[in-house]
Amino acid sequence: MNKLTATACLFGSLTAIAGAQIPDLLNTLDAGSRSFGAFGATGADTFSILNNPAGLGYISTRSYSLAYRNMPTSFTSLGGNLNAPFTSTDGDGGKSQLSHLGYAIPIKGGRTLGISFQVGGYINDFRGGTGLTSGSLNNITYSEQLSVKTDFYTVSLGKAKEDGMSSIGYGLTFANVNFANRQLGFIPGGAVLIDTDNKSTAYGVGLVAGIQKNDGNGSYGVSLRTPIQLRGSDVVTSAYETIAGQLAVGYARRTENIRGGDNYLLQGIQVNHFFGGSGNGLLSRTSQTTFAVGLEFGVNRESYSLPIRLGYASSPGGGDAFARRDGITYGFGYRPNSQPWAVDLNYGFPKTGGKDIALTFSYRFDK
Amino acid sequence: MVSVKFLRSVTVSLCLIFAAFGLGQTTFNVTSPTNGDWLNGNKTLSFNGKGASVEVTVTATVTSPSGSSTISTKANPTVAGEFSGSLNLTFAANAPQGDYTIQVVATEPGKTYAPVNLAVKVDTKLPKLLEYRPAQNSFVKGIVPIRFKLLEDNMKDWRVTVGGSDIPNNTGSSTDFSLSWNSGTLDTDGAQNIALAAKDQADNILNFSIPVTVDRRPPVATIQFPTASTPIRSRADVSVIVDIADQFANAVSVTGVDVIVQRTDGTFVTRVARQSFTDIGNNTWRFTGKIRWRSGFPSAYKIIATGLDKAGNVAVRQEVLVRVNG
Repeated sequence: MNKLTATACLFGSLTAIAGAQIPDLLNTLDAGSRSFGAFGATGADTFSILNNPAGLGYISTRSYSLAYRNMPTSFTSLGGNLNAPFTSTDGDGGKSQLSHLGYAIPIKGGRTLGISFQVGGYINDFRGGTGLTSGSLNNITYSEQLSVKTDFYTVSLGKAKEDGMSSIGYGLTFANVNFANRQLGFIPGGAVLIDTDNKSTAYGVGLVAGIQKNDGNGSYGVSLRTPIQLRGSDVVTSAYETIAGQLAVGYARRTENIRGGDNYLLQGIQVNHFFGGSGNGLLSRTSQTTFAVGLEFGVNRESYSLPIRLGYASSPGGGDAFARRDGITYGFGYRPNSQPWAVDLNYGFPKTGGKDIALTFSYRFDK
Repeated sequence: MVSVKFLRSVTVSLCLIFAAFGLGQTTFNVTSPTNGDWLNGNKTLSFNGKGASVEVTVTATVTSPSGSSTISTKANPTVAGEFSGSLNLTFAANAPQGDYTIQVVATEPGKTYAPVNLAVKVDTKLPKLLEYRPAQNSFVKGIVPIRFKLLEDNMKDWRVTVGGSDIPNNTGSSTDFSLSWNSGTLDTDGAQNIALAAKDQADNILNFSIPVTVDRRPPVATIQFPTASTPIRSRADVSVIVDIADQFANAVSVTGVDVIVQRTDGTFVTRVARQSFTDIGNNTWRFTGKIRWRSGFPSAYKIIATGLDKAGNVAVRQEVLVRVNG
């Protein structure tokens, strides 16, 4: 088995990824990739198109995958002074929608081209309170709905060395941010204090690049997504000027013949550093470092394999509006050995409440 | 037994006594009004006389430029033949003004009295106030200009007092006059009363009061909303609420509250349109205005509020720096 094949085996079962990453905004449980975070930089699937294009170098067959997952929402209760309120936030699962659609195709020169759509960030937060104060004003009712969705449209190339020991990749990503903010504050029977109703879209272009390297026992991955300066809407840029760049460093190791047979154990860890983001007030963004660890125990049988995953992801606060978000993740998959498809179902339980669920389907045209 | 001779002697003696006291002569006088007097709408004509034996009828014929009228009364003499009495001379407000004659005649059966003829002037109208300042129930401070302008052809005199006390140069006889009152000498602020008493020649008196409040303390303006940390989003329409507190009720001037928006470099952006100005109690008025977002509106701006009370005291300027944060 050459190293390319070994790498493919290492990650061959990783095409089913947990769903859209929510890196920049609220949901950092899937800041990486597989099982919500531990295998993003070291994966080799259509998620690699954005997460680490080097992973494309290990995709030797035409394949696509799509993910469908919930987009988390949050409810923030305000109390006290409107200008410096006490807050209490509860998370909720939110509605589900397509979060990833990717296609990878090997091309000439041993390279693989990938193109993907991926939801990169999502906020759906309602905050409000009654009986608030401001100076001598009392009994203020305030409500604010904020919806921000960041989609990445990415084209990447990846190429692995012939010995399969390393791969590099790079790409261009176009970020599209849909922004909506409705704000209303009033004194019952009195003046409307604040009234805002903004909807707009902004965009920006960034680069992604990465490398992966095998050392015989495991795989290292490093990827970089540049900060993306947004433009096209003053409404958006007054709140959200720059999508944070992401530096991801991951390590994954595969141990074969666990408990006899063809069972394996995949161990992964990934650290993500978000930097260079900027926002104002609503989307004030500071640098942030998250990490995720995960295990995948693969039960291989003659006709199928059944990966079972467990992980933990931690994300400290990333700005005034982004509180710490940690959680346990788990999931499982099913991939019949005689079929070109696979499915995965992954769960995340953030401590702040709610539940994340992602269903991923992947398909290889050339088994 | 009284003889006829004795009775004749007594009778002659009494006649001599009565003659000695003049009871044999008649006199009739009008003591008020006198010739040339000014009469107002209600005047008493007083008279007396001597030499009456029986009831005397006194008749006054008042002749005005438009006609004559007669009033009369009766007076009973004393034992000494003296009599006195009065007649009420009443002139309607719309009666002709100016020169009148009054002929007063006393009559008694068998006797005659010399009639009394008087030339008087009638003025039944109060001095009319045309203009004055300060306004009633106004708020004042410092040197308070006082002015009255009267309509009166027969002005006699006027007097102005404040709080019942005289002030400098507070008397005169003109119909258009000004004077000043220095309220700064008062120990405490509060209600005062400027009083005018204006009198014409007929003693028609106009009394007029101007209640004022001395207010020397500036109001206090407070920008209640927004504050520097209020979550103001891009393109937000924002209400501006400014409270103006004064030491007296109704002392804050609605037109004296000015709220503007400036850029951080001090250049003018807009004036905050007033939507309401309401009394919220505790001598405090609340200005509520609206900043409506428009293209080019700065993302950071200053809200500046100034207030003025009705006495002209200026509140300390208030300023809040607002930054759009989101």
